[in-house]
Amino acid sequence: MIEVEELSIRFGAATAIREATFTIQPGDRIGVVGESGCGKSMLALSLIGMTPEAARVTGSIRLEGEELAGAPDRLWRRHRARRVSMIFQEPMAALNPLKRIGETVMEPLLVHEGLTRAAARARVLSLFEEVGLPGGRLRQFPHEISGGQRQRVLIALALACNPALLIADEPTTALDATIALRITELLVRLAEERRMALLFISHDLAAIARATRDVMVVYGGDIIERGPTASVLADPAHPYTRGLIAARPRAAASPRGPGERRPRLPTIVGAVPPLAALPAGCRFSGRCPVELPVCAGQRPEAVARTGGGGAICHRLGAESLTA
Amino acid sequence: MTTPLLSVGNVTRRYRLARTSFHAPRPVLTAVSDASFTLDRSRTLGVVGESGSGKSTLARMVMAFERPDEGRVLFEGQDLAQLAPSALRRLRQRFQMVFQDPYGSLDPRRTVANSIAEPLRAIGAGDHAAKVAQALDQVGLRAGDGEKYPHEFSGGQRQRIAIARAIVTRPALLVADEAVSALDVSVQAQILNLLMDLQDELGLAILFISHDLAVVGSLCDDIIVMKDGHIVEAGPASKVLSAPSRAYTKTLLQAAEI
Amino acid sequence: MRRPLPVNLMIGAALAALVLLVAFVSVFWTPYDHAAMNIPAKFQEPGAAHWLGTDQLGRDVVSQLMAAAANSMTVALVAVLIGGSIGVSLGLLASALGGWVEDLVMRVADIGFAFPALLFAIMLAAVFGPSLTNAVLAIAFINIPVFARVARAAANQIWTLDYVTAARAAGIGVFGISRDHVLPNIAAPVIVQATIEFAVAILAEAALSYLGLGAQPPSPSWGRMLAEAQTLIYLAPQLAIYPGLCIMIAVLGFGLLGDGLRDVTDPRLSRVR
Repeated sequence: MIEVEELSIRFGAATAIREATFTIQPGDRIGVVGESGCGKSMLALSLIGMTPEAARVTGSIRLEGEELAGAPDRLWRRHRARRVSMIFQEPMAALNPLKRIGETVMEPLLVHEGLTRAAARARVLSLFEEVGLPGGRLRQFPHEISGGQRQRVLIALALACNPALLIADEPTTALDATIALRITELLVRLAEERRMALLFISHDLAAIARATRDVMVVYGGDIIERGPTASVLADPAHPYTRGLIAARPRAAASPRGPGERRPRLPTIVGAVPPLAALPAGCRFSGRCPVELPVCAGQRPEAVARTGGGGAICHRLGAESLTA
Repeated sequence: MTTPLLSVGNVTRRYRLARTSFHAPRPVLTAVSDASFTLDRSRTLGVVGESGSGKSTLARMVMAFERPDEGRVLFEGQDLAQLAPSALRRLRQRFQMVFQDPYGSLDPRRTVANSIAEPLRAIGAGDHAAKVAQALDQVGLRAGDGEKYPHEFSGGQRQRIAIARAIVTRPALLVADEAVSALDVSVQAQILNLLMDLQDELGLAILFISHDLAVVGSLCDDIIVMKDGHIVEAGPASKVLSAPSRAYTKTLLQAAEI
Repeated sequence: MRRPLPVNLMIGAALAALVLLVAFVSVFWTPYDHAAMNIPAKFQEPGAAHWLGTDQLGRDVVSQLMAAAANSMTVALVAVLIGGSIGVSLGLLASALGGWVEDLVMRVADIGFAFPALLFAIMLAAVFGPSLTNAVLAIAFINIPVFARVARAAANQIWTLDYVTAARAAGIGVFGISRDHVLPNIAAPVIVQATIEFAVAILAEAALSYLGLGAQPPSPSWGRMLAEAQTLIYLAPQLAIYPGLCIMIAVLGFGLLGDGLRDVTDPRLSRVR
């Protein structure tokens, strides 16, 4: 349905995304996980044609066969809401505070679908039911409902024109843990019921684990590892993925006697470099605990893993050669 | 029996909200209701809860930014609400705070050294430069970093600076309000480790407030779970995490786990 | 990827700089003594000797306009400085203490807003006699509530930030925090407001002098030149046009400069492009 090939997004000298290639099929639930500044939001925006003006998009984005990489806004607008839709992190900022939420959701139905007000209203009611909002909320304003309900309104809005792909950029980050669980469940259910593809972007490995079937790990603009979510999280191949999973605090503690040292968390040394100062070869070189001399200068090839997916890492290449 | 470093006894804090109608009396929100706990030197107490649970209000009462409507906050046996303003300001060097947003907690117009020295200036302590340099070293920054401005640092480094400011007066208690929530996972682990190191080195007691049960579990000896202003579960971290007694705690646990 | 400076900022800065330069030069040099009368040479056409001619008493118009610029700038500067410092102090105080102090300061500011400046100036003139000093005080007075409001609104935002809370945790008192953290961080909106108020003050000075409540003869003022030229409007209309143009250039210059500065420092208020 969506084929992305060698997609690069550059800002002057900085590379936000380097030669990303992947496909999304109907019903897929794909996670994009990475730390802030790794380019994951840029990747999401490029799939809906909303990268900032300063960004240079090269490569290929084919939406149901139509080439859209670098296409003008006018072309993208035909697909937004109807083919590809997006929800954001901050549900309050994405809603017009002066408009009743029912009106907000009705708008795309009146504009894009040309429905009558009565028909649009009926559709909004069924959408509200689908996302778990009581119909009585229709006439309320955004400030009158909770954060979780606002995110539900935005999901209803995004679904109004039956998109084939829903991009969710950190949809649960601003929400409380228990609410976030419900929203994640809702997104999974909607994707399954509607056979809609879901691209779920998050820095939160726990949310990714719950929401997605496949995952792409992004670091420094490269997709450094991909595969079925369960196997990537259980048996990460790339040193960065390994470090990221290890650095996650565990909700398990052992009692500590007086004067006893608490075990420290494994860490990744240093910090993510700015996009303009990334190493030319493997993006993770300089922070990698198992770095080889070749890593800084030469970009590693993808090495497939059993069970699907793979990682780009010179170590993996070297090991598979010797094996 | 020795006095605990921090003893919070039956504190309640209510806020009067804005009027919703001309006739009705102003509604009252009870942000914290009848909360009690103690915290000893070199120990870490985690306070877990979601937004609106009252955990930040609790922190603000411990920091004496707000007075409890009922109950007492005793720091080293002294009731913070009973102290004269000048005495309270002097005592503040003994309990310090680290905030959530590493971008908002440093004055953008001041050098890092200047910000770190602020608690020293407040008590008129001499020899700032040496103490600031030592604090920078303790949080893993270089002495030369003091001459720079906050915008020259990453989020994790800024949080280190904020921690340096909090420990420069050698406090006995550190209140950390969502201190690692805004950080990336890999940086979060570095800061959590730093807090553990400082605790070992300085004998700090840490009141660690977070919405993330996993983060709290990695750092804390004891855990309090708050919901709607009430403490709904309390106990040693190992017990709360392995055998939570409340369904709410179980949900939080579920949210934190892969 | 810096955005280009807004056009209003550049035009405003150029006009304001021109007016300030002329005012500054006039302190040391004007073509003639601005007050020197030369009745035989009255109503001269613009020419090589007198660039913009002479007035009904044979005084050189250029010299008068230049000296008036210096007067106008001084009045505006002093008035804005006085009004600004009192207003900002009150705003900071209101924001720092909150509660009834804040309510009191802001309600008094509201009353100040409702009080016409000219009325106040006329009152001052009635009690103490008309003079440039009284005009300055009147203009300063009307500036106080404006600055108090701007300072309080900006300061209230700063007070919610964590670094202020951190300073409280450090044991710094509210006045120390106001001085060390709040004031430096509200400088931008205050400077923007000061520039706009500077333009307002120039206009107010001209108006007061026009009514005879400001600069007294022989001290030159655009407003008074306008008033004197009014009676000769059919005989020598240019005498009214020159000071009018000067007022317009000065007010427009500082007004645009203030708007431009606001666009640069606070993108939220600038027009959506």
